[in-house]
Amino acid sequence: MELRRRLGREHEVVVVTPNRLWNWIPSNIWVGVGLMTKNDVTFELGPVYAGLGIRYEQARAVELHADGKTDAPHPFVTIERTDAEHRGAREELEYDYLVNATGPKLNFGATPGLGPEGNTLSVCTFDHAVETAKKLEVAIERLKGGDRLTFVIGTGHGTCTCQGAAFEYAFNLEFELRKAGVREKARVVFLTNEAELGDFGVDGMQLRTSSMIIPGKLFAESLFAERGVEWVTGAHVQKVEPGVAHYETLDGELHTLDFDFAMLLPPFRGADLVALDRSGADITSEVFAPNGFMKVDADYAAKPYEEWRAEDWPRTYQSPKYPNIFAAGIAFAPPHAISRPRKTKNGTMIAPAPPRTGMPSGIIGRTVARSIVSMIEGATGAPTHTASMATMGAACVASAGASFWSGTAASMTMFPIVPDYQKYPIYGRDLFYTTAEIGSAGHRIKSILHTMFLYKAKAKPGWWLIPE
Amino acid sequence: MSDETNGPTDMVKFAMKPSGFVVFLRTFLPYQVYRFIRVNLRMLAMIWKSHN
Ligand SMILES: Cc1cc2nc3c(=O)[nH]c(=O)nc-3n(C[C@H](O)[C@H](O)[C@H](O)COP(=O)(O)OP(=O)(O)OC[C@H]3O[C@@H](n4cnc5c(N)ncnc54)[C@H](O)[C@@H]3O)c2cc1C
Repeated sequence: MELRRRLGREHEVVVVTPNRLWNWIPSNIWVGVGLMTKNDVTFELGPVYAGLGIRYEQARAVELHADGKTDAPHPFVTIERTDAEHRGAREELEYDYLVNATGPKLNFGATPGLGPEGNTLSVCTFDHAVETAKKLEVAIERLKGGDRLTFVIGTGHGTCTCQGAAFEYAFNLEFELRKAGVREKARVVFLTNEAELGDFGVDGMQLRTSSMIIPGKLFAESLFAERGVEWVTGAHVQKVEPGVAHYETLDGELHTLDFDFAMLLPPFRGADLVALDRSGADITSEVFAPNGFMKVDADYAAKPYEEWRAEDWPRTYQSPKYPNIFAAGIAFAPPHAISRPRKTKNGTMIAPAPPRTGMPSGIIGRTVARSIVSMIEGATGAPTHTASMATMGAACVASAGASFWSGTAASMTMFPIVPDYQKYPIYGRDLFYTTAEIGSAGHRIKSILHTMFLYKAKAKPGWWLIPE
Repeated sequence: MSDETNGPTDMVKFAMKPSGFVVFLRTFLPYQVYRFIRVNLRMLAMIWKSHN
């Protein structure tokens, strides 16, 4: 949308996405507890793109031919149609500039038994969330009938990210159980790969209150304690059998946890695009990292946690191999994690992956679009705009129960996302902008964000004035 | 193999817990209207800093 707004009509902007519907993913949490429907969080993409003058191809990119073919050197992507009429048909789509914004592939396969096709539930897509809400309704009926049930919410692998979404689902579920008057019959357990609560894959944060600076761990734990939600930290889920999760903790011990209802997030990987050179040889490993995300202008040299620096993080998101290719949002390969990675005595990595939440993803998208515009307009052959996660902050409003009067949310801000210990010694962040508080103000902000970002995504008048 | 969590007992013993007054303030409308303004201003300042 930013490209279309800034480029003249002589340029064509094409969006390739497998989806017919756009989804405001953060509100899937509320779909997953039955407070919203699929229609509340989605809309048809076709009319929006048509109105903007953007060509929309309902397909998924499968191959990247950045050098073209021997007989036709223009770069192209091979796309595979996903609409009902042409499903599976392949086409070649030429481009001059390419932005890979394919987000995460939900890698349920990393843990046997994980996911809606296995033994756990998910809220990562609206369809998953709708199914989860149905299961929750059944569980609440069972509680009303006198059963005692265990609800396990969290991450389904040691390398998951997006713990904030699991946190939100746990507290929304807990809130709904209270509303239904069945809370005392339910045991709610938060099972997470974070070494401590409040880590959120960003190595936790320190918070300045009016009287002292406190670790985010205390802030997070206080909410769990107040709501009676139990927690297991530093957990790598090894497999999930019907009604029982098997997990290893940081001390290397193996445990099981019986459940009646489990919503566990999957680890993410890249969209697994294949890159081919002009002769058709596979060069995927030159363009993409082993986790399927696209390599950009980051420093990917392996180094220990103590040597991680803000400068390791990308600024332009340009592919080092192909200057006309960029990756935005979750699709770019981070140089390393943000949280300290840990290994158990059995050699299992329990290391939260770095989150690329909505705000940084949006800012990166806008930055890339502006760089491409200036490259097209000939101002420069190199990207002109930069946005490093080590120099940008993030605002995150994590719902802790939705209701007009009694709903609350944790409003969190941090600056920068990636701690910079050279610039901000001791804490790595500017404590003026690194804050968290819980209250119904946060819930109202979360509701406003839902309306505001759907407005923006529908490209309604003045959409571009709404910041990411 | 065991079925263990940091369980309710540990939680109550070691976790920081908000007082009744703090919990009350979290949904007390006049205070939350004030917090709404404060939080939004802080977020806007942070967004401004991030975009620039
Ligand atoms: C349940 C949940 C709640 C969340 N809540 C919050 C929140 O409150 N605040 C926040 O900041 N963040 C939140 N997040 C994270 C946020 O959703 C992501 O940071 C954000 O969506 C990332 O944007 P993206 O564009 O990189 O990826 P996505 O939004 O996932 O978009 C990627 C798009 O690419 C498409 N695609 C995939 N493969 C291909 C292909 N091969 N070819 C073409 N297209 C493809 C996908 O279908 C998708 O439409 C939440 C995430 C989850 C799962």
